Amino acid sequence: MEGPLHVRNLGRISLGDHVTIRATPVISHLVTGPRGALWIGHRTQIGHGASIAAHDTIRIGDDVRIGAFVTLLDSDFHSAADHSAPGLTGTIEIGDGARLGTRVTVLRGSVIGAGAVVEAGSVVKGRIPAGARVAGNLARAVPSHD
Amino acid sequence: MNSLVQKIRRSLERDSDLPMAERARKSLAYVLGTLLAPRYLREVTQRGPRARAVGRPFVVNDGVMCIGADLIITSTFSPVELVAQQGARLDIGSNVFLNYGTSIRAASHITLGDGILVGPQCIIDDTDLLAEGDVLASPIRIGNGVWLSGRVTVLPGTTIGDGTVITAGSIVSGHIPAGVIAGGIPARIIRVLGEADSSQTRVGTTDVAGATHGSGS
Repeated sequence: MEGPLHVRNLGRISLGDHVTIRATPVISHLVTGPRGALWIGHRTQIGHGASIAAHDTIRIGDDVRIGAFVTLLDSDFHSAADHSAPGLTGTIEIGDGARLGTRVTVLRGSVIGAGAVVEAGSVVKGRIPAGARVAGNLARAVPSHD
Repeated sequence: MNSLVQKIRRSLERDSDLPMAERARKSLAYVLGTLLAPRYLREVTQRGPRARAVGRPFVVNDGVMCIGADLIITSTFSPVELVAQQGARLDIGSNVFLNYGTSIRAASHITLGDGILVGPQCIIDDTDLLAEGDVLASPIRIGNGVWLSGRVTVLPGTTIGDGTVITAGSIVSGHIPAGVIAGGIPARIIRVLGEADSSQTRVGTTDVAGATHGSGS
């Protein structure tokens, strides 16, 4: 771990072996709610400025590479119908060996398959197949230039 | 005073499933935020009562800044930035919630209505930097009850109608009508808000540590 890390754990956080979470030059924060669970697999690396909030479950696999300023939110926090009502929540899963670029946002209920690549700045909602390469808001498969 | 008591009671109800220690910590943060708000917001030209600033915001007012009652600014993980340049005007209504890392910068005129929720790391900036190095400022107007999700960028000259929801990561330009969900880059209408939205069921807890849902009505 490099630099101070901000952790507020009301649920549970489970880290595998050799996990790297950078907190310089910008601090990263890990937050779990009372029913939240955050799992981070072996040898996974997370860049600085990360915002990870688990009020449901966030499961990050082994050997995942996550860039700087990534936001993982397993809750909407608000409802479109009534702003003071709680939003929907849903488990986030990031498969082994996946790579998330800088400033990627992963919304509740998203599942990113093993080895998938999410390009910088993308917003992920829903399912990304294993091995896919996606980009955009909302992230979609990038056409190959063969 | 009565509305302040109501606010506190509502907050305690919402957080009833949090452990006692966390509720105590939050209560302390809220009280501190209420006590420090006048100091943190001293540069604001005109401000309504019961503001709460958790964490230190970055406020620079070389123009005119008017903020309504019951403002909540949460600068827990990164500061909220409010800037009005010389000759500029920033108007913010009542019951507005600005989450961490949001930046609102006015060179001409930015207006936010009442009951607005602004998610973390949003950018509301009314200036365009032109290729020749000139700066072009175009007013921004955001209506009542609008919800900007996280990482939304509102470009110069944008207007957003009442009650509209903008999805995460969107870049908004032009005119977005009232009562819709819009999003994307550039933001387009996804659907009209209607009956379907009232039937969303509650699944989980509501709070991100240090922040609050401040529509307060």
